[in-house]
Amino acid sequence: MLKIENLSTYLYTEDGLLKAVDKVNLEIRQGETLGLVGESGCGKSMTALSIMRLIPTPPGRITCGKIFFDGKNLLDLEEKELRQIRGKRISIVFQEPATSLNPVWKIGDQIQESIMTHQKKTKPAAKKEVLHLLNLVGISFPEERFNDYPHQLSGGMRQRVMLAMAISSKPDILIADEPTTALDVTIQAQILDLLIDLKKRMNMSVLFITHDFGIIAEMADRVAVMYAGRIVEIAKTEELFRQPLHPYTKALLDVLPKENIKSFKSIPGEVPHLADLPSGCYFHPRCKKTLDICRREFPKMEKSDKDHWVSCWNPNISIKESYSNWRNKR
Amino acid sequence: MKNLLEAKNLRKYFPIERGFWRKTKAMLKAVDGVSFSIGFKEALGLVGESGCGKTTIGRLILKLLEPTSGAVFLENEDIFKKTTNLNLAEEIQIIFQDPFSSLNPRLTIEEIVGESLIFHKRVRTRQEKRKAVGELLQKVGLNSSFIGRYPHQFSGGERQRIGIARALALRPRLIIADEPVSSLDVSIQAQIFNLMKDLQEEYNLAFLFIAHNLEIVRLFCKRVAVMYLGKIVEIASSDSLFQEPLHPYTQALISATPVADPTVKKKRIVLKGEVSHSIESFSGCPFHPRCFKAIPLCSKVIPSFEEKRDGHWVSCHLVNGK
Repeated sequence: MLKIENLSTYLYTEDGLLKAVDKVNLEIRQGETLGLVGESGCGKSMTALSIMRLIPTPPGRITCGKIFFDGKNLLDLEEKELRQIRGKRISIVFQEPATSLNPVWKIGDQIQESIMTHQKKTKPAAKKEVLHLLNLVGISFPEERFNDYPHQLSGGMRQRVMLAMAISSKPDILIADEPTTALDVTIQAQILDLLIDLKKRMNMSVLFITHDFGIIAEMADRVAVMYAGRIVEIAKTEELFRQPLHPYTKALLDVLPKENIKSFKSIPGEVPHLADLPSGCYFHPRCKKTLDICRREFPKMEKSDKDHWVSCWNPNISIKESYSNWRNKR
Repeated sequence: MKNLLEAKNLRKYFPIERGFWRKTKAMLKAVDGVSFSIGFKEALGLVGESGCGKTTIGRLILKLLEPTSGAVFLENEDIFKKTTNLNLAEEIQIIFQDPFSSLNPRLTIEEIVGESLIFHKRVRTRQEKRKAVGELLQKVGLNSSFIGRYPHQFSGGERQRIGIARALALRPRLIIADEPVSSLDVSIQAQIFNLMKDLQEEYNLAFLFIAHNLEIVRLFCKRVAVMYLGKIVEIASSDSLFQEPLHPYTQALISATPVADPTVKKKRIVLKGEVSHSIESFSGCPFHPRCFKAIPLCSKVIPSFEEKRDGHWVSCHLVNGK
């Protein structure tokens, strides 16, 4: 569906060059939900913005790489061509629904505008479509809500409006950037259910960005783990939880509270600042299994089995072993 | 067992003022008749969604707000009584959620942590203060040479450690932790969490642990209270609360929390609607408009808060007694 090759997005700031997204390779397949996890500042959102080509310039710039969608490299497109794709075939939902809606416009008009921009529809037809969409995302009394302003809605409702807007053009790919982080758990459950339902109905692929492994476990088919701008591991969700290869992934999973364990295992140290990255593998100062080579060179992405990729010199199970495990299983 | 802190029928209503004359139109019942107790060295968890009154309870106990009615006793002494000679700051301290806005950016760490020591005359000279602050920093896992630095030189996790050192300075007996880890990354959350656990052992601290994440509360607290719209709907030991949640709201909360295990396919209870405003007055159980088990009685009569199992209190019509 969408293929990202060697994408780098750098920020040129007063602190120096920040490699927010660093040589990222990723693909989103037809009909799948790809989870992208990592701690704050690891480049998850910058990856999403790069796909949409919404990187604020300056300070940001996509320095190299290719993003293929539908046989075209999105980074080569003219602004005019891009508009046929951005918001139409690839849509995005942001974390903070309060700031992504225009506060002085009625929500109905905002959705209507997006429909009229992307589809050739008359105003009455577009309005009909809006009411249908509001109904689809579970907003009751769409006629009355149509005339509400964003501040009159609760956080969960606003996120539903954002979703209605995002799916209005029947996109092929929906990027959901921490769509439930600002919401309460019971509302989060509603939105997650809605997303699953919409994905099925509209036959979309979803790139789901989050920091919560719980949500990943429930939503994603495959997971990519990011650390300090790089993707360190990609695998099928079940595989990743069963046998994480990268020490960072393992540590993140160990940190999660579990039943019957009375204390947390913690990861020593903190996420490095992007302006001050360690040499070699970025994770080595916090890693339990550091080798000499980890301090010198950044490991390449290697394939352990069919769909499991890891970038580590000393993974939890050696790549050979994991590969033979996989073959024996077959 | 005698309790360190006891809250009895605590209420806090905020007037909603509208119009030119600022007439009181309605009352927002932030905390509406809440009773609970915290034992010595006990960690009580307080969970609920945003706007349910968790933080208001914390502020009432710290005497940052005057209650509309009700009382809070600290070892049989009413903290709201005018004549009390209780020095509350030396007994109860708070750790805030946001480590960025809760530290004064113009003060050094020494001034932030040591201010209360000077004010309460725990130290006399500068050297003494310096030494005391240095020791506190070491206790929370920071280098004591950081003493002259300013908050902006620290990361979120380190700032939260400074906040903890400040709360510890006067050796309080109760610490109110108001969502202390929810603005931190997972890997840092675990560090802070373990630190608080160690300190609880070392200083015999009692905690009121306010959070919206049930999993964290479960590990940290022996007992958990669940709040909905200004009322406590269920209190139980964390084991029995998680094994057998009695209140439908607690059941929904537990089932709505995503489990980080793709092999577990559980059925989420998805609640209809959203938390209604506590301004609207309605009869009956505050949860009945969203409840998936509601019966006609629920919309008429407020259920009483009763001990339905040993040490397991719940307010729901549908739970049978012992």
